[in-house]
Amino acid sequence: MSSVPLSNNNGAPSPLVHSAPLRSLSVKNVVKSYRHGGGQVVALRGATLEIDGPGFYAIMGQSGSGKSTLLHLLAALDRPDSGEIYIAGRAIHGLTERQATEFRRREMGIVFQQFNLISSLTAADNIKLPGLLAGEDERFLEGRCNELLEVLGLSDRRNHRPDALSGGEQQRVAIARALLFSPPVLFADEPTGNLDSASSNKLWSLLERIAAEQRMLVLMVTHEPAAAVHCQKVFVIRDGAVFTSFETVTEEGALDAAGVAARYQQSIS
Amino acid sequence: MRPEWRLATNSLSARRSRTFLLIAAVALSAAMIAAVSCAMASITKAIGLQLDQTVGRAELRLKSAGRGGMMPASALETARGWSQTQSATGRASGSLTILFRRWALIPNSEIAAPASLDFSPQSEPVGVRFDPTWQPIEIIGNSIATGIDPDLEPSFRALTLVEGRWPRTAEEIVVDASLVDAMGRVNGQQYRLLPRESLEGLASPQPGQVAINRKSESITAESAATANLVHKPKLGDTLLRFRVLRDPQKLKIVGIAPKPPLGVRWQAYLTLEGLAALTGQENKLSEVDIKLKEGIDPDTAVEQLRPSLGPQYLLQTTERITSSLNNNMKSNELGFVLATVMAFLAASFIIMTGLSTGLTEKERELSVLRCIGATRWQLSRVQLFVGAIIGGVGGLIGVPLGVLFAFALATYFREQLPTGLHISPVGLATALVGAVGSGLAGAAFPAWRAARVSPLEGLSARAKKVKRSAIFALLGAAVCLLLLELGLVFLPTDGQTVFWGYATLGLPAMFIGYFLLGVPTLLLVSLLLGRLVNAALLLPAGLLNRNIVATPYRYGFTASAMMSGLAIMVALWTQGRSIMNDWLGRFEFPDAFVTGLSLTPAAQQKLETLPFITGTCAITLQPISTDAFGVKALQRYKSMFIAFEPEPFFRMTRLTWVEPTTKEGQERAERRLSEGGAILVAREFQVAQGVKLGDSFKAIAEDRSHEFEIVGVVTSPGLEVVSKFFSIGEEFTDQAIHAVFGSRNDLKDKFQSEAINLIQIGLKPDTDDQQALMQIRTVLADSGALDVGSGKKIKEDLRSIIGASLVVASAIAVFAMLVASFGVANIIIAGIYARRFEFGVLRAIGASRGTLVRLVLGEAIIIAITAILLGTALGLQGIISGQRLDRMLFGLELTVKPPIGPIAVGWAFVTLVTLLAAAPAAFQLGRKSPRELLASMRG
Repeated sequence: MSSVPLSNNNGAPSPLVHSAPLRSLSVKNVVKSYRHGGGQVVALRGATLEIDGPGFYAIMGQSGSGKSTLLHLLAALDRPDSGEIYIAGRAIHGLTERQATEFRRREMGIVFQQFNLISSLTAADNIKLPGLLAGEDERFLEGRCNELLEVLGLSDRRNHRPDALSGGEQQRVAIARALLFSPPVLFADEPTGNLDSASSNKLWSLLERIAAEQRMLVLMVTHEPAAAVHCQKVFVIRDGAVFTSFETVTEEGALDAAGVAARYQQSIS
Repeated sequence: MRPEWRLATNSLSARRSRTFLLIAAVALSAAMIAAVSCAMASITKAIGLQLDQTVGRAELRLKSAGRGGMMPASALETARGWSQTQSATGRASGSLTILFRRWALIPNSEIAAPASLDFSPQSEPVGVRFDPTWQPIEIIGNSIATGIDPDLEPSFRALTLVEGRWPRTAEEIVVDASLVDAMGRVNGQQYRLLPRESLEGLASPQPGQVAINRKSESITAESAATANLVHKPKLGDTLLRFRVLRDPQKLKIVGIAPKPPLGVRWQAYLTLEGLAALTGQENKLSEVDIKLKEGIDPDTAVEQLRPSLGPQYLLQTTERITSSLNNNMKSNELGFVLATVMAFLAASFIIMTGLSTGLTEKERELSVLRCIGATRWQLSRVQLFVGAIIGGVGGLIGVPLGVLFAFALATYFREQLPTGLHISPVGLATALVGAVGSGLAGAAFPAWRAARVSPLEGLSARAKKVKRSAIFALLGAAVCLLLLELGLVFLPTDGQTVFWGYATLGLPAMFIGYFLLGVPTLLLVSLLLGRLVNAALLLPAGLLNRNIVATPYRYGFTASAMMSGLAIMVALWTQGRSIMNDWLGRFEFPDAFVTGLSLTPAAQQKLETLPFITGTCAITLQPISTDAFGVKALQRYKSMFIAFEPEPFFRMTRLTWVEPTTKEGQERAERRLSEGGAILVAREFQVAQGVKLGDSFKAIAEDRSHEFEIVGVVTSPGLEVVSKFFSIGEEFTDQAIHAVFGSRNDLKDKFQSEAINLIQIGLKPDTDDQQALMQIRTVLADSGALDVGSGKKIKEDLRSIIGASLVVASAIAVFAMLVASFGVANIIIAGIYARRFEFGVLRAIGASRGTLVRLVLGEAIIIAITAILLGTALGLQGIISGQRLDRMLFGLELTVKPPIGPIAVGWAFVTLVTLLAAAPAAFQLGRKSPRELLASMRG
């Protein structure tokens, strides 16, 4: 991966960086349920969450706790049954279909566990895809794409299709795609689920750098304490509600993976 | 538009083999439509040329009111005397028996069974011998001869001679190129060997470089044919007009006319005087063509002039003659339109199923696109672009392919189509637009489905349970559509309403209904036979059924895509068998016939002298207009008024009486015929129109209308079929079906028609048909006879024509199945691709390669069985509806008796084609490792 910083030569963020306002993300009493196997499953029961300012944050919870559901609602992939969601001051819970599409296009980025690249497109085309869908100028997209490829160390892979890329490379392409419009928020749903530990570490470091250098709010769903080590705060979700949260940097110093795991266990017990 | 286009082209190029298969399916449909449209245009052009040559540049035509009758030559002077006339010319028609003496190489095949004809009663037969030198022979043939005015004819008739000039003297003749070619052949021609001295003055040609079959030292048929063609008649050669017991008359060839199209009988042209000298019909004309002065309206001229003519004359505009051809073509065009719609409907079903299966496989990708900001409409457009590309490329490939195929057909049938290939721009545009349309129509449902994909649904790996309510909804919709079709056909009582309802709504509804029925039928087949197939293929219990039940739409619609070809085959063969048994089988043709344009009473008398003939009956054939049959807006069929002398006719003909049923009633009907003003009608009139005894029947011929009383209903002896068979009239303008029967006196009194067109002949039992026909030909060679035929042979020939037509039409069915097989292959490949992770899991937990292969083949078998059920049912329902139409529009009562043999062949073919379509993908799946299959989940 390239060591070129994600900012311009003066260390200031690149011109396209958004400066995130206070209370960048706010979730209030969100309820969401699904019909499943003939019955109703309540995935979120009045989840509430506040994040002020940019940074790298994690949501942790056991399987079925509702963490992915919450992320999906934040990314406007679905609508809550009740409650409110604000991102960068904008109400997400009441968006129309068209507005939600537009939001997903420019106002946020999302990275999935399974990369979810378009298999028939090259790495460069995958990165440019949101811009193509938005009807953006080809030259702008080309320039931005080149910039992202270089920053993420993928310049020599630009013309490769996903089946010719390693897992780590695919995930970086997915991150590049998510960063095309430099959105104020980036969501990552178990982004290292399909990667080995070395690649996973690199990816977490990358997300941490993006959050710091781009002054972006990066929210990652994970069940791995080693991932949460890179985050400044961990929100613990249990039984469909945000149960508690803890900082990963304490008075005693930064928590390591074991420390995070211990704090997590303590939270849910 | 850019991203959608890009995604569409990427999607197609990423799945090349499947894209190719879908394009191939569309291309073949487009090729078929393009080929048929060009073939129809070529035939229309050929008929049009024939009509041009017949009708020419004249605006009016004056002729005898009776069919085949002659007028005095003074009619020409009368026509020239009209103030409206610019110029007029007369023609006479007759028949001519022509002989051509030439040298010929007789090939070995002719030695065994020579078509030699000794038509001199006194001469000894010349022995047939093999001799590798040239033999003198005499070829005989009958042609229609037209006497013309050589000074005026070229300005009236649009007929450009290939070589030479028009005849100027009575000893000169122009013949057409098909007669010339025929007399250049020995195989299949009637000829006799001559003594060597008969060709004195004509040096014997050397054998030259003629290929010899070394084993037998005999001349091969092919080399003999090539050598013989060199000695066909040419300008300056002498033809002979045969005369019984007299020296033949010599006629010098001064010109060669183009070949008449569509197998029309040989044509010869002489001066009016020349023809009169040959036929003995001095100062007689068949027709007078008239050009009007500038500015005179033909219809007005007819109205003005007609009152001055007697009832024995008929004056018509030439436009009227050509307009009946246009009507006939209109009905063919409707058939073409319906066939086009069905062909492209089938192609769009194939595309729809293929794209929908691909959509299922790409649901995750679609969800991702929604996640990153694609709108619903953008996803729909991708599918529509894919459909348009498949349709467009398929059309661009298929249309030239179709033209090429039509060119090949036109080349193969160049004898019948001397005008060659005629390209129909409308037909080609229809094929191209239809191809694109079928692509878009096929993509419509996938486009709708793509728009409904939610960002989250496709990302979860959950299999969706098939909703039972959706299956029932499909079943309900299918049943409603099938009932709609049956209702449209069986509820209305008027044939015209039934036809239009069926053509516009019923047929597409039936087609779509059976298509939708594919899914419930597949589930039923799986339920009833799945276990059996599973066991036969040694698959783990329940695996096959579970796979099918999990994705019934994919398999069900695949089966639906296969059904069309089989349905066509079932319908064709069932209808063909019905026609053979119920229609043709009913005819009891008389023993023999003689046909001619205008046979003389002398001809009948000559026949009566032959010892093996028990009796003859002279018959006049007159086409009459009737509203009883056909679709009024498209085509008015004529019927044939068959006029005879009642006493000999009833003695000779085995008529089957429908009404009256009693002997007394039948005898009374016969007496009424002799009295005049009465007719018998064919049974089809009763079936189609419900006529009964005592009803009035209006017969209209050449603008003259007369009413007759119906005194009987009979099963036709098929004389109208016989006249069509011998092609003695302008059958392409006068499509006559079924017949009414009356006396010759009535026809003469009311329609001035008394020429004998057909002589029915009774033969003694144990008479050898072929010998008898040979003798009859000899006796009538100079009596205006065009053809002599045996009733038994005609029936056999009709059977083989129908049989051959069925085989040719079956090729269309096979073609349709092959088109569908491309779609099936595509869907099976797509289905395998969509499930490759599942297959990987199966391999990972212990399934062998063979298991996967047999699983896919088992699915193909279930699809084939479903297609067989659907196709057979669709074919039978189509036939039942078709026969209702036959009854109402043509009075035909045919039974539905599907022939098991050909239908079983169709079933076997469907099974084979489906398995062959699935096999490559199945074996390729078997070759993949578990790791390869499981890796499909990555990304």
